[in-house]
Amino acid sequence: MRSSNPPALAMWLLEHFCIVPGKDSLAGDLLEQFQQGRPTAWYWRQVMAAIQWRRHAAVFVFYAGISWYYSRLAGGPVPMRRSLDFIVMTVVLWSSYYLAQLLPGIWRAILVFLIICWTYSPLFLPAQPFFHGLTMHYSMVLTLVWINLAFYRRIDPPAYRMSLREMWNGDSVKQRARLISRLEQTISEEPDSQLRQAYEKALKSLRAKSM
Amino acid sequence: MLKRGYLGDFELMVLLALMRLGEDAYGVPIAREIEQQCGREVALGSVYATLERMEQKELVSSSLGEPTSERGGKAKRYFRITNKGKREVRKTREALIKMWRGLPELEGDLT
Repeated sequence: MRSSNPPALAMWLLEHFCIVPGKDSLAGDLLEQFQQGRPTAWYWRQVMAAIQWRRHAAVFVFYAGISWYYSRLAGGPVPMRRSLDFIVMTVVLWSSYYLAQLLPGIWRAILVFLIICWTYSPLFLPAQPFFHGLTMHYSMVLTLVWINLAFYRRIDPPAYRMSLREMWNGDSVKQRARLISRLEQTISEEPDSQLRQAYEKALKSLRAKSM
Repeated sequence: MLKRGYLGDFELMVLLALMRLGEDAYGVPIAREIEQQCGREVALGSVYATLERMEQKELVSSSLGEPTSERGGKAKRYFRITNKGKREVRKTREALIKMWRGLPELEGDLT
């Protein structure tokens, strides 16, 4: 017998990986359709389409390509198997792409500082031959990691051009998203039509700034 | 003014669905309308992505409705075509009709 609720995993994926703008309304639409008898397979298909796996897969292929190329090129002082090299690099680079989205700005800045010191500064470079060799071996990967952490910003809506100060604070994108979400909720609960119009105007200007 | 000259096929379908639905156009009816008229399953995510893009181009406008329990407390987002959107639909239609004219293979299909 079919459950009255959509699959929890699909809902979780929709919540965390969906990059479609206005995903709350989309989630509501999908739930409404599911409650009206659409099959579970349909719900999954819709969630998979909304998540846009091709975009995530493209990111993976991009980093896998870099890793493959670099693992062929880099001999380095530490003898490592190329396949292991390839896997380590791909995982590290791909994770850094998502890590950049999850970490607040201040933590990203600290991490970037530490990686730069670790990789390039003779003061911080590990003296132990093994770790020194390992750092040298993965210097290219570490460079790409800090570039990801420093320059990648969330393209998940509402994406908008951040000022330097906002980049430093890091969580302003989340704050903006939270504000938009709260405003949307306020509008839907507001009985006074004039106030609703005023809120909608504010929401529109907030969304315009988010573009 | 659109950067690209004319609307894409899915954009056109979504705008036409909006015009057919009138006031009650939110994600579900829009997708259903396209499915019924064109006979293809439509991803709601694609509909929202297209609508969002068109809202940025000011071809459509949106407003939030009441949240209901059957939607898990999520509000419906209603869309309406703007005058600019209507102009673009008309422009695309005229361009397509011009392209169709003079093709003997398709002459009978225009009506």
